[in-house]
Amino acid sequence: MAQTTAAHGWQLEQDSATAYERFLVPLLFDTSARDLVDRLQVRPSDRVLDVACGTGVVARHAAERVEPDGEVVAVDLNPGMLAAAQEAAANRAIRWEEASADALALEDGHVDVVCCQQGLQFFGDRPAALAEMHRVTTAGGRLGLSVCRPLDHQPGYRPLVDGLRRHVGHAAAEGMASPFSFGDRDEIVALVRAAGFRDVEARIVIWPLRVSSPAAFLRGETASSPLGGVIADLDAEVIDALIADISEGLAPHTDDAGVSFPIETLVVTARR
Amino acid sequence: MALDERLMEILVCPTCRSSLDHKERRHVLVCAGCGLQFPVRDGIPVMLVDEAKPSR
Repeated sequence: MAQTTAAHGWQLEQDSATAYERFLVPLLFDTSARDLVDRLQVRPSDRVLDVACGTGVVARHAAERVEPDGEVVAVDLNPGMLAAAQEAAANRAIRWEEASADALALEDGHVDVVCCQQGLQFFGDRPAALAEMHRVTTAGGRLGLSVCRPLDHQPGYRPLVDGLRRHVGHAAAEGMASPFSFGDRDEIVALVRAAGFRDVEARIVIWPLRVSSPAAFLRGETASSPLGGVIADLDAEVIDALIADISEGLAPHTDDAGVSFPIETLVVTARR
Repeated sequence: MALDERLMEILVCPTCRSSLDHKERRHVLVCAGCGLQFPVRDGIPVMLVDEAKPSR
């Protein structure tokens, strides 16, 4: 879910990037990345571009499929994410580049497939980013984007955001809500079409998430975000009250193994 | 850290899309068109116009 322009100031330090790789990737992004490259039918000899690659989970799945003749280029604006990505992908032939989604440093028509998992909602200039994705894709090439649907469709994240708003503050809540800030189907489809893509198709894709407890959910999510330090500085009573509120909100999703709830995403595929 | 050769072949300047020349000792990529110099950090090219310097 890394971002390629600092639209929300929601950028990670490298410790957060490592936490992101350890918490969010196994929680959701590994599964959703595999699904995205499956939908795009990434195959040997494809040239793949992963935009806003974060810690590189989509790039890793794509690399497995394109070897030995294809190639994967992965770009992100955040050097901490790229450092964590390089570490996580030790033996994979992925080429990393620090770049902004709205000014890609690749030739026109260079790639067969462009992936952007959970990135679009963070871009400052989404039309420019989509125009760049269109420019670097070869005629007939494939685009695959995913974003989270709005918070109204997120029974697990809603209590987390509400709890942060009540106990920590507006900025913390807005930060945690930012992945859910751009999930309107019609708006995204119109944007992708306006960039020149055709055969645009949007699908709601729902994944089950599981965490061991509400406290582990709060800890994992905040450590993987710019809020790690903010939470660490809170008084113990505030943390307890925050966890109690989140637990209450998650009660309908709690079982003997912890907490399980769905996350709703929108996956948009298209052709150039 | 050396820069991947294949990456050098496919990268272009994000501003004018000209080819880039790798100046290994200075850890920069210099655009053949507009002359912007992009840093290479830990083997990763930083292709951000905000971080690029004009040629002297």
